[in-house]
Amino acid sequence: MLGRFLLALAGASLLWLAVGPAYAWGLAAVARAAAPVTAHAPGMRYEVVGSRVHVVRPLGPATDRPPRELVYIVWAASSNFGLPLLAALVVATPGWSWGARARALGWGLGLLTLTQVASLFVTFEFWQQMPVPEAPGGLLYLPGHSALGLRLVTPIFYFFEIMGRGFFALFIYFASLVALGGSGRPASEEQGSRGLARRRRR
Amino acid sequence: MTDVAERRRREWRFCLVFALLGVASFAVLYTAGDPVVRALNRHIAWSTALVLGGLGISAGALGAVVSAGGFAVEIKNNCNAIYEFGLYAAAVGAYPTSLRAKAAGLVVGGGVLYAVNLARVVSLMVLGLYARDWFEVSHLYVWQAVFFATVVACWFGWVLRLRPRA
Repeated sequence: MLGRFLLALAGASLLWLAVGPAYAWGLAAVARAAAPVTAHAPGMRYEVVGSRVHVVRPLGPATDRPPRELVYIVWAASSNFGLPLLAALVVATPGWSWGARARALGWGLGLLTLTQVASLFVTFEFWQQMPVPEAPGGLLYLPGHSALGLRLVTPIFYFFEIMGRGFFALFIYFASLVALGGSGRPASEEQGSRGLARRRRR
Repeated sequence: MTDVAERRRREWRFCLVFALLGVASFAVLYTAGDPVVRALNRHIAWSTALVLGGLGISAGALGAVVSAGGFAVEIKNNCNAIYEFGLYAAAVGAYPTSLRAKAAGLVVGGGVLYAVNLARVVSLMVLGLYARDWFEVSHLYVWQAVFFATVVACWFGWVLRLRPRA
């Protein structure tokens, strides 16, 4: 299984490099649609640069020339390897039919995409709450900032940023193993387990 | 049929406990782990300089910064593998087996993750020195994928060793 997993991970990672820009475009479209609810100040815009989603936030009045803008990276394909990881795990799992793999990929990547959307919103909120350093040694607090808001969103941001990269992919994979029948069980037990699930649905 | 239902119940419990332990390990590392994380970062910088020295590359470490030949990197949270170890520990902790087996899994897996992480930092330093163009690609893409693969391989390797006796 390990050899197949490594091969699948290499393939999925290369595919992720190719698909990243389109995925970023899709996430940016979702973020733009939600902007009236998530943005604390008018004038922000989402831009897709390669396989990254940027938020451009005006800092001063619109009449400023040149306009003062702040750019955050709120999502990058290079920092989100959960999707190729999950795809590789599903492809490498022994004992699954291709139909089961397709179901696991469909559900898994769909759910993982929801966590990516959540991650993007959390990152967006974190940067809205974070004060901006201003010379000399000052801090600029942007509209919507609150000390409590920053304190609440910071650990959630770091969870998504650091732990979330692998956590969600593994959790969804483990759940898929349980839902579809894990690898390594005797075939008769697998069939019995799936039959039981079907009977329950009826 | 009851056995299958019982087994599925245990499997779902594993998923739930994994999720809870994953969040808990993050919470512990995030809130109370700072002195440990800083010490670990300094240790990794020192070890990297030592390995580079062994490879014939003159290198030094100052705090969490390791430098060689005009190229330097700072070991930060994402470079010390401690959160990846937390993730691995959550998966080991959630698996229904004896405490002794879990302790063995944590020690061996932790050692592997430490060694792979050291190899990651050393290789990135070498790339930074001799092939700077490949540094970012390797840092962001290659090693991230390899590290996830290592965490997963460690866990599956541990589980597969347990299963014949389970």
